[in-house]
Order: sequence, then structure tokens, then C-alpha cells
Amino acid sequence: MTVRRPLEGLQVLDFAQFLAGPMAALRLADLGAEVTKVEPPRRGEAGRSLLMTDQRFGETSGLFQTINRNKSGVSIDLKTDEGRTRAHDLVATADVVIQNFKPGVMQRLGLGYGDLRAINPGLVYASITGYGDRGEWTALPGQDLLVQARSGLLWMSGDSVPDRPVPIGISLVDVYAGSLLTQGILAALVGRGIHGVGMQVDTSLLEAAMDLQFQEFTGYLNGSALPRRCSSGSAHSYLDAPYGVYACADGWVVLAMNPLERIGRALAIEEIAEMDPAGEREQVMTVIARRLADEPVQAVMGRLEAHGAWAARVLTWEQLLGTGVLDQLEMLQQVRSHGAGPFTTLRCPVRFDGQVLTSDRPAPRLSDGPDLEGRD
Amino acid sequence: MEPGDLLAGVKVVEFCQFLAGPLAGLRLSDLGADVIKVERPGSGDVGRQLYVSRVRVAGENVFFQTINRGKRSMALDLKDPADRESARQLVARADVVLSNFRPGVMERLGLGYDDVKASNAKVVYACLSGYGPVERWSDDPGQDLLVQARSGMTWLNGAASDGPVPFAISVVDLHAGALLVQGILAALVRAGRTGQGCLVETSLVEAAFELQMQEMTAFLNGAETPDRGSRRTAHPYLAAPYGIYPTGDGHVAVAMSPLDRLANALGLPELAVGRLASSPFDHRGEIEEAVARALRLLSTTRAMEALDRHHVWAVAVLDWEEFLTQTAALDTDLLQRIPVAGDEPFLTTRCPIRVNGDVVGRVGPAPEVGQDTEEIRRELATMPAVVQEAMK
Repeated sequence: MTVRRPLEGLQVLDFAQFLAGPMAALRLADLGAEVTKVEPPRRGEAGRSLLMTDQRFGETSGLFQTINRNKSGVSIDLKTDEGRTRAHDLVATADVVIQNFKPGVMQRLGLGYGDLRAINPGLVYASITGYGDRGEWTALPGQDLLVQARSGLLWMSGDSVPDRPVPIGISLVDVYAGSLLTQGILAALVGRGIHGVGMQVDTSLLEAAMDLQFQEFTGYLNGSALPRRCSSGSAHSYLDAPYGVYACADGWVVLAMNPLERIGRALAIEEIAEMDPAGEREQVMTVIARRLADEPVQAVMGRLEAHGAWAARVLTWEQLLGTGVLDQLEMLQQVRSHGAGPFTTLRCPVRFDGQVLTSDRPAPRLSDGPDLEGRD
Repeated sequence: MEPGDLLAGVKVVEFCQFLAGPLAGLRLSDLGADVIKVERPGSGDVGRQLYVSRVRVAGENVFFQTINRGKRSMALDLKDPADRESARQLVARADVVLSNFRPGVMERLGLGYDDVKASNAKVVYACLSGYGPVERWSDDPGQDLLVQARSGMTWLNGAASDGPVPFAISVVDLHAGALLVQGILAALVRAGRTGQGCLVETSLVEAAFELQMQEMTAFLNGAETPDRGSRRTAHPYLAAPYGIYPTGDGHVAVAMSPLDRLANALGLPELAVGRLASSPFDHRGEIEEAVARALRLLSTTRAMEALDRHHVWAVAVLDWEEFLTQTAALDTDLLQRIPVAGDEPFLTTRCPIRVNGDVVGRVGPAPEVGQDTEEIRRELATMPAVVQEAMK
């Protein structure tokens, strides 16, 4: 038996809203599972109206389309007995349930793990919460920026002058939590194959935020000082010079870990070879920054590459598109959208047997009827 | 089944160094797999010498400990024919082979996917590279900051007046490791059902793009180039008031919130009606300035009282010290203590996935180079076929 997509034949019910949960379901869909989004009637899940730059594809937000493509949909009012019965019927033949309501909500709806295990013992029941199910923060809004702010993550990026918190400008915690849940679900499916039973897997935005910092945080827990950013050009709180960003006459370059002696030779500032990359981090970075300020990027990169330094030019998205790299990676795909032209998005970033996995199926449509037509 | 036994019996052979590859091995180990790290005799994984922190645990730097805890180590000189034969025997009995050497290295050693598949058809062979099939960068080092710089990520943080601002954690390594784990586990699900092995690949550059999938998709479909604004915003594409605001004695983070709530909380009626209220995207800078002026006059405590009372999504910004106090993290299961022979136990975070309500993970330290070589040799002599035989 040859199955092209690794999860072909598996059924997933996506009860989730907003970002993290639906992103886990999207990955499973791209890996071949049949994902059915279960939404409340009329308005659908809250993510349908979550806008990024006011962008809409067809009737819903562009962001909703981006993370709910390749799913089918069904509209169920889970607060009615009839709705609950319908949901239970769907669960009976499902392999995976994904939900990201606050702790206790699914239990009150008769859709907790205990309820659903009784219907389907092989079920993998996967939840993302904001802060786990114990402790003082469990009832607080589980939102990306708020979790970044609570987890210490805001003191890692940016410079120390002025010394202010700098957030990461994408929904990183959501994206990473969704990825952790996907890992948990897939491990549970492997575990079901080995042990013959279903199980419950959980993660939270807070656990994701701490796992993102786990190396640096472990250093701190065992005696390192709090993270220390540089006054300019910071790229990592705990890495020595020359690790950082440097302005050239017409653009920027980054330097990764490099022996100072090599950078000194490449840039004709041999004096830095005698300096301490840790104790004199700021001073070394200042010498390099002064040296590069008046020279064009291309000349700087030429010198650095000739000496085998770990360096790269900083690109914008426009410049990146001009390199042709995205085409070579087959990174982009076209997705149909209801009531509008196709839109372009990124494919699943894992390749199997050298093949990329793509799908042009859009997000399910929202209608006022009891069922959303998704299987078109 | 104990929660930590999820992947019990799954045998993983790790030919990896540095960060992203070993991270994938760590996750599989915490989920119950037996991870054997194959290392060069003597010096071992290059990561043992990568000093990101001067803190040392049992003679190793703490970062190496953190990402290699719980694994076993077998020392093999892959250039030596006898040791290479041992490696071949090992991969012939593995469920998963994991490698992040540069493309071509494993093939030259006779340990490429085609070689392994010939003796082990069900193997899931996972490769992580810097740039995948991108030819123009194929000779360049696959390193986190370099990939960030090339992928456009550095224009999403900070303010318009800043230059590029990197994500100051190894986020591309972390995400690439996570993607590889997803690919491996998906392939194991299929292998369990069909007996079909496969090659799973991802790269740092694909991980960097995937991190920006939401924003890049907006851009690719007509959104303007990300505008970080004159203040430091928290997201170039989200409407006001999303961002970080200084108070009289600290900072608060304000997430997406209806402007009328914010207006009531801070006494800013101009946010509730009229021009600003009607378009939080177009007037982002103006709205954020008004909010910033109001919050600067309050202490963090007073600001949070006002914002909470009106159900605005906001929190005080914490550092790690405050985080540890507020979460009581040292006393809860957010952290774990890893015992180390001949040294104090060290504290680290645990596997961020819970199974049946319990935390999972191994509590052992990182191995010394080759500490399990003899034990693994003995196992090889008697090791049965792979665990997939047992999977239905």
C-alpha cells in the first residue's frame, strides 16, 4: 500500500479558534488528514474577523484564509442538546480532536476528554490553553503579546539604548504553540499504534514561550546573569562579539559566530584580534561598526566571504523575492478562495521523499445554514 | 501506558551537531524514544565546545547539557571501516535516523538514505540542512542569524527608525527542529500503518519562511511592506493599540482591544467616536501616541487597575526574575531538576507537551562522549528488528 501523504485516511475535528489551534489543524491537513472545522452557526469562529492590514480574501479575513485553508467545515450550535449529539456522532469516527477554549469550557459543553473517550477510546484529544490548567493565570486571556510580556521574552531582542522591552513582531508564541501541539498529536498517534489506546495531549502558550527561551533561561537558572543586550546591533543576549547587526553605507550585514582574528584580517582591523570577545563585546562591536559604516554592502561581503567569515547581507522581502530562492524551494502555492481570485501563500515546510505537499483547497465557507459547504 | 512511554521502543540514531538537529532528538527522547547520539571519539559533537554561556555542568557547557540531556552516546570514528560497519548495523535496526551534516556527507560515508533503505526499508530518515535545495546559498553556513537576515524576518521587530532587528533567540533553529519532529512523527504514523519508510527533509530557510507565514501571505497578496511605525510597535500588520507602552515606572503590553474600552479606561473619549475610532489601521500612529501619553502618567499598578477594570487585554511586562516570583515556577512543574553525577543538579525547563495531564520527559543529564558505546555494542548483537513490527 502506497500512501502519498503521511496522514492520509485520518480524521481530525478542529473546534479551535484564532491562531494556535487552527495552525495545528492546518499542518495535519497539509500532511494528509481530513480536517473538519466545527464552528458556531452564523458568525463562525472568532478568527474569521481577525484582520491583518485590513486584508480580506472573499468574505473572510485574509489571515483566517491563510490558516484555515485545506479544511472542510460544519456549523454546529454546541450549546444545544441536538448540537452536542451531532458533535458526539462526529467524534465517534474521528482520530483527533483539537480545541483551544479556556479550561473548563469543553467540559461544560459535554465535550471534555472524559466524555469523548467514552465514545471513542482511540481518540487523541489535543488542547492548547494560555497558561495550562493550574496556577493563578489560568483564567487570563491567552494572547500572544500578553504571554510574550509575561515570559521575559521582551528583554531579549533589540538594543539596551534606550533600555525598553522589544516584542517579537509576529505571533511567534501562537505559531510555536501550534507546532508543539502538532508534535504532541503525532506522537500520540504513533503511541496509539504502539500501545493501542488514545490519549490526551496538552500544551499552552506559556510553555511555548518558555521553550522558545529554554537555552538562555536554563543558563540564567543555573547562574548566568539576566540577558544583556548591546547598546547597538544586538542579535543575541548571550553570544560574544562579533555576533550582531552592522550598518554599511547602503544596507546592513550580520556577523554570526566568528573568530575575531578572522574578522580583523578580512576588514583590516587586526587590533580586534587582541580583544576579549566577551568582556569587551561592546568595544569590539563599535570598532567593527565604525569600520563598516562607509563601505557598500557588496564590498564588505566580498571581503568577509574571501576570508570564510560567517556573514550575510540583510534582505527585505522585496529583495528576497528578487533572489529566486522562493521559486527554487517551491515555497509558494496558489489557493482558491470562494468569491475572490486565488491567493498566494506558503506551503507546508516539510518535504517527504523529496516532494513538497501542496493543496489549493480554500478555507470552508460560512453560511447561515446548519452546514457549511466545505467539501467542494 | 505511562505518559512518558508514548514512543517507547522507538529507536533513534542521531548524527547531529550544534542545535537544530539535537533539539529534534531531545524532543523525541522526552516523548519516550531511545536516542543514541553518534559522536566522534574524543571531542564529540561540536556543540560541546560552543560556549554560549560560561556556566558549566559536570564539565560541559550548560547549553550542551540542556539540549542533549537524556540521550545515550556512542563514540564512532566514521572514517574508520570497523566503526563505520558498527554505524551501518545501528541504522539497519533504527526506526529513525536523524542527520544535520552538510548535504553529501552522510552519502560519502555510505550512510545516506539509499544505503540505509537497502537494509531497512521502513526507516524514517530525517535530514535538516541550512538551505535545502537552494543552490545559490548551498555552500554557506546554515546558521540561525544568517538565515534570519536573508529571510526578511529582521524587518518585523522594533521601530521604523531602527535598522534590522533580529529575533535574539535561536528561533530558526528551534522551529526547524520542531518541523523535523513533526515530519518524523507523521512518517512514523504512516510507517506503522503501511510499513512504508521515507525521507523527511526540512531546512532552516523553510523554517524561517514558515515562521512568517501569516505576514508573508498578507504581503504576497497586496499588503504594503511591513511598517514598524515611529513607536516600537509589537506587530507591523496589526491595528492600534497593539503594542508596548512605557508607564511612569515600567511597561505594559496592550493586545487587540476595542478602542471604546481603552477610551473609558484611560479617559480618552477621542478614541471612542469619530475619525480615530473609525479606522484603527489608518490612524495607528495617532491612536498609539494618545495611549502612550495617557499611560506615561500612571504607575504600572494604576495603569493595570484601570485597564483590567475595563477588560482591556493588557499585562505588566515582566523580566525572568519577576516571572519566577509570580509563577512560583521553582516550585511547580514548569521546571525540572536534572541530577548530574559529580555536580549539583541543574535546573531547566521541561518538555512543553503534557500527556494525559502529566509532564513527560527524561531526567538524566547529557552523556559523556561515548559513555554508552559498549552497552550499545552488546545490544546490537542481540537487537531484534525494529519496533514497527509491533505497531498495528
